[in-house]
Amino acid sequence: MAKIKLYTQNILEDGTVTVTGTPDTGFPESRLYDRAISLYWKDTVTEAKNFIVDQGATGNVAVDFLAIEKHNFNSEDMQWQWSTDNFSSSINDAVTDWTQGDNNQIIKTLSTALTKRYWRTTLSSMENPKCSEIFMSYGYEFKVRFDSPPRLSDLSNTQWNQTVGGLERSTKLGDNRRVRNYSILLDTSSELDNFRAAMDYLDDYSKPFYIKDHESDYWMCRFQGTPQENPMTDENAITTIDINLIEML
Amino acid sequence: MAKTLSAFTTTKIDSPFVDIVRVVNMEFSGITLNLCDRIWGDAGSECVFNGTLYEPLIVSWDEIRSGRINPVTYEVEPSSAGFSVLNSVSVGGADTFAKLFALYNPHFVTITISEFHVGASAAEDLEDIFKGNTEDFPEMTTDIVSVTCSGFELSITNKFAHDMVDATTYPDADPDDLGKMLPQAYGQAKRVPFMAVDAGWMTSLAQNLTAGVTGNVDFTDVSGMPSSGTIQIDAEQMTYGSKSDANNTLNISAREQNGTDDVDHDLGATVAEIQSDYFYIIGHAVKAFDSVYVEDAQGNQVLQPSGNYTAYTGQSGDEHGSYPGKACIKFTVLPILTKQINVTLSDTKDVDDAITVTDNIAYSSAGANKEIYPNATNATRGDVTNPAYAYDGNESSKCDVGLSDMCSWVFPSTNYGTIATQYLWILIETSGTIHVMDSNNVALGTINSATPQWFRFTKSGGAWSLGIRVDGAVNAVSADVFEIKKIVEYTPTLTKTGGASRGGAATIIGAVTLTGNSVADTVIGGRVSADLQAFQDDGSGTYTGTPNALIERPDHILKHIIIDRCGLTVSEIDSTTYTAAGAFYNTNSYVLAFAILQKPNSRILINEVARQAKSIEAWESGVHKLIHIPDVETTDKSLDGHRIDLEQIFTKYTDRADIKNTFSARYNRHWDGYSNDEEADRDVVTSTNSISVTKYGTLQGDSLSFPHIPGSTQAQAVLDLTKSDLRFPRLGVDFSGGHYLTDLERGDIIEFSNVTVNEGDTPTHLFDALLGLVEMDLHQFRIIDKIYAQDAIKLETIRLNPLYRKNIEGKYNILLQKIIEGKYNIIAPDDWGDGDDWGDSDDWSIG
Repeated sequence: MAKIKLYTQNILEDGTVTVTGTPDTGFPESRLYDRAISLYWKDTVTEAKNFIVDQGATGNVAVDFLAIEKHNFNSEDMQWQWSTDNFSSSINDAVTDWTQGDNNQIIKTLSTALTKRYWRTTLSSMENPKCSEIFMSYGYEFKVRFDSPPRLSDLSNTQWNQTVGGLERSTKLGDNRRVRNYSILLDTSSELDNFRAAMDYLDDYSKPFYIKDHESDYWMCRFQGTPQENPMTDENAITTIDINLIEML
Repeated sequence: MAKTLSAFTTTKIDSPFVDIVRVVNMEFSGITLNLCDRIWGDAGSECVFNGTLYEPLIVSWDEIRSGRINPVTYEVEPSSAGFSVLNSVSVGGADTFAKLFALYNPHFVTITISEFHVGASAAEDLEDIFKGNTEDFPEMTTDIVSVTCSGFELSITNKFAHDMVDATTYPDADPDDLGKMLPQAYGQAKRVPFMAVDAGWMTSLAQNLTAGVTGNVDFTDVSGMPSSGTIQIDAEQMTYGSKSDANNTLNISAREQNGTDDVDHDLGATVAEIQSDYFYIIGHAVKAFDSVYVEDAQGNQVLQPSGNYTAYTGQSGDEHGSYPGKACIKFTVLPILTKQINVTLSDTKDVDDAITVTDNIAYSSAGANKEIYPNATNATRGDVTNPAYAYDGNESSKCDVGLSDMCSWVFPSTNYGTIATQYLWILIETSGTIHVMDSNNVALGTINSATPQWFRFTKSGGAWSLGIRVDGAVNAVSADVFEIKKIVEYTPTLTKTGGASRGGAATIIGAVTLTGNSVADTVIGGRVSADLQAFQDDGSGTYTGTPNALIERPDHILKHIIIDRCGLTVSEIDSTTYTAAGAFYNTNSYVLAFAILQKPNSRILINEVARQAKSIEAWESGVHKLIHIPDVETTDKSLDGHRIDLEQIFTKYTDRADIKNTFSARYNRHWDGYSNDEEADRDVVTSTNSISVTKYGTLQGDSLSFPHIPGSTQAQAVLDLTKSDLRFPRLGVDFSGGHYLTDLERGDIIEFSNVTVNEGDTPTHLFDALLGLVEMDLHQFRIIDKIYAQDAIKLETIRLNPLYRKNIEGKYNILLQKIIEGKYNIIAPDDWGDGDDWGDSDDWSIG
C-alpha cells in the first residue's frame, strides 16, 4: 500500500533562527520559514553561511526532514547538523555532508527522527547566496486507499481563445499546479491522533505544508477545503479521511 | 510605424501559443520593488530576468490602458493601469506591502509594467507596456492592496518650468503684471508681451488736478512710490517731497518739470513713477529681437524706433546684469505714446435747407409820426428863467430869455425808429429878430414876433434828442418862450410778438476730411511687446542638431518642451517617430511660432503643438511619440482572421453630429493681448468638401484657431486634415487578439486581410465579422487605443476617411498606389474622383 507523508511543522517558525551575515533589504531571514517558496532570503556577499535554529530549552520536537527550496547552492558544500550546546562542542551530522550538485529542491530525511535543541544547515562560501525556504519538520505517514483511488490532475494556468479564422491561441500565464485528492486510511486511533496532531501545526488550515506524495515526490501544498473524516467504526478504530491538495508555487 | 521588437520577441509573438510574464517595477523613494505575477525560470534562477529577481506578489491585473486618441479632436486620454499586490507576506523590509507605506511615501511611486516571453534573457526582450505613477489604493485589506496608476504623461502636466512675476523677485514690478507668468515663446513669435518688472510704480489720479496746483494730491495707491521723487501725469512731470500711504497722497512740490507743460489733469489719469531706466523681460533668452512695440490707448502696438530702447537677448554676452538669461528691453525714458493734435479738418459740408417757416407773429408799430416834447435844457447863457415852462404843456406860462441871452432845449433820446424829417415847433414872443438854431447850434432861422405865435422849423434826419435853441445875442433882443415841441416823421422799429413754427427738412451735403495725426492721447507705460526669434538651441544643438539654431520646427519644439521645460531626458523621446516627423516637416516647411503666456498644462500644450503640425502625439510607456500624418499613409500591419479573436469585433460609426464639411480656421496670432484670444489671430483659411455638402447639406464646423501656425500653407493643410476627418462618418472597429498585436501602437495603420483556413474555402470569415463594411486589403484604419488585458490585446481603430483624401482632390490615393504596385488591375475604369461615393457602393471594378 502506497503511503504519503505530511510535513506540517517547520521548527524554524517556533525556534530562534540565526543566520550568518546581514541579508539584503527586503529579503529577510524570515523569508526562510514563511512557507512561501517563491519569496527569497538572499545576501549580496561572498561568504559561508550557517542557518541555525534553536528550539529552546523545552518543548523540542522531533525532526526527520529537511527541505531547501529555490536556491542557488549548486556546487556548494553543505551540512545538516544538530547540537545540544549550540555547536560549541556538540556538533553532529544529521546526514552525511554533501556537495550540492544542482539548484533543484534539496530534500534530506532521517530514518529515525531526532529530538534535539539545536539544528543547523551550513553552506560553504559562495557569491550572492539565496534560497526561499528551509523547512525542518517531522513527517506523519499515512496509508493511501486505492479502493477509493486517488484523483490526480494538474490545474492549468493557460487561457485559450478562438480566433475568427478558427484557430485557437493560448496565453500561458503560469505553471501547472498539481492537484491530488486522496483518501487515506487510519486503521488505529493513534494514527487519527497523529493526523490531528499534524493538522494542529497548520494554524486552522491557513498554512501550506510539504507532502511526500504517493509517487515519493516532495512538494509544497495546501488543502482545498478541509479534510473530511469518515469514521468506519466506533471509537475511531478505523477512519478514512478525504484530503484534497493543490500545489503551491 | 509599428514598434520594433527584439528578434526573440518577434519570433515569439508570431506563435499563437505564448508563455508570457508580466512584471512591475515600483520605485519608491528609497527602495525599489520588482514584482511579477508568476513563477518562471530554471532552478537556481527562478523569477530572475536580466539579473533582476522578481517577487511573485502580483495577484491580479486591471486592464492597462494606453489612453484613447479622440478620433475627432486628437486629444489623448492619459494612460492608466492597476494591479493587486499580495499583502500577507513580507516585502521590501516590511512585514507586508501595506506596511511599506509607513516607511516610504506610496504616492507618486514610479511604476513600470513590462512583459517578456519565457525564455527571454536580453534586456531588449523586455517590452515596457506602461510607465506612470501610483495614483490611488482603492482597496487595502489584510490580503491584498489594489494599486491604480496614472500614466507618466499625467505627471508632466504641471512640470513646465516657468517663472512668475512676484513682488519678492521683482519688487518694482508693475502691479498689473504681478502674478503673471513671464512669457515664453517659440519660433518667430509676433508681439510677445514683455512683463514690466522694473518700470516704476503705476497708479491713477484720484481727483481732478488743475494746472499750477501743488500740495497734497489724492491718488489711488501710492504704496509703491518712493518717499519722494518725480511722477508723470499725462505728459506733465512734477516732483513731490513726501507721501502718505495711509491717505494715498503725494505732496506735489513743483509742476511742469523737465521741460513739460503745466496743464489740467482729469481724475483717473495714469500716474507713473519716473525712473532712470525701465525694464521689461520675458522668461528666457531669445535668439534675436526683430521689432519692439508699445501699446497705445486703442490697444495697437506701435513700432518703436531702435533708438528708443536697448534690447538684450539674454544669451551669454548679451545679458543685462540684473536679468541674466532672460530677454530684456530697457527704456531710459518711460515708454509713452503721445498722439498730438496735428489734425486738419477739411469741411466741405453745406446745408441744403428746405425748411419753411410759418409765421404767426403780429406787428405792433409806434406809428409814422410822433409828437414829443423837451425834457431838459442842455445849455443856457445869461438871464434865463423857468426854462421848464417851455415844455410844461401850458401855453400861458413862459420861459424868459433875457436881452442878448440864450437857452437850448433837448428831447428824450428814446429811439422809436429811423427819423426821416423832424418838425421843430416853438410858441414865442420876441422883442426883435431873434436867431433860432438846433440844439447842436446849427442855424434853423429867425423869428420876430411881438405876440406869442407858433413857428415851425424843419430838420432832415437827426437824432431823437435833437432840440431847439434861441439866442438873442446877435440883435440884442429878448424872448418869452411859451411852449416847444416837435413832430417826427420816422420809419418805426417793429416788435414781434407771438410764435413761429418750422416745417420741411434740411439736407447736409458735402464731406468732412480729416488729415494729419490721430486724436490726442497719451499712454504711459503701455504694454511692451516684441517680435522675436525666440528659444535658441544650445551650443551643442541638442534640440535641432544645429548649434544655436532657432527652435521652430515642431519636433524640435516638442523636444525642447519635454526635455528643457519639463525636465525629462532624451530617453523619453522616441527617436524613430521624431526623426520621421522631422523629415516630413522639413519637406513641407512646417514651423510654429507662438508664445506661452500662462502656466500651461504640458500635455495640452504638447497636443496642440502636434495638432498644428498635422500630427498625432502619444505617450507609450513613458516615451513620447510624434506621428505625422502624411497625405498617403503606409500600412504598418495587415491582420487576418487568425489574428483576431472570435466574437471580439465591434463596429460602429462616428457620431452623425460630428459630420462637418465647411470649415474656417484662423492662424498667425499676435500675442500681445495676454489671453487666449482668437481675435488676435491675423489670418484665415477656409475649406469645403463639395461632395459632403451635396450629400448632407452645408454643415458648418466650429470656427477653428491654429494660433501657433504662422503660414497659410501649413494652416490650410491642417484644416484640410480636419475636413477629411469629418466630412463623412467614419467606421470604427474595435477588436482583440493575441500578443501578435504587441508591436502595434496608437497611430499605426492597419488593414484587414482575409485568409482561408482550408484550401478552396471562401475567405469570408473576417469580412463577415466586419459586417461587410470593410474592404479587405484596402481600407486603412488608424489605431486610436490599445488596451492590455492579461490574455489579449484590444485595439480600437478608426477608418481613414474613406481610402484617403487625395481621391477627392483628384490626385492619387491608396487604391491607385496598389494598382500601380500591381496588387489590383482595373477592369472597368470609372470616372473616379468625380462625386464618387467612396467606400460605399463604388462604381469601380477591381480584379
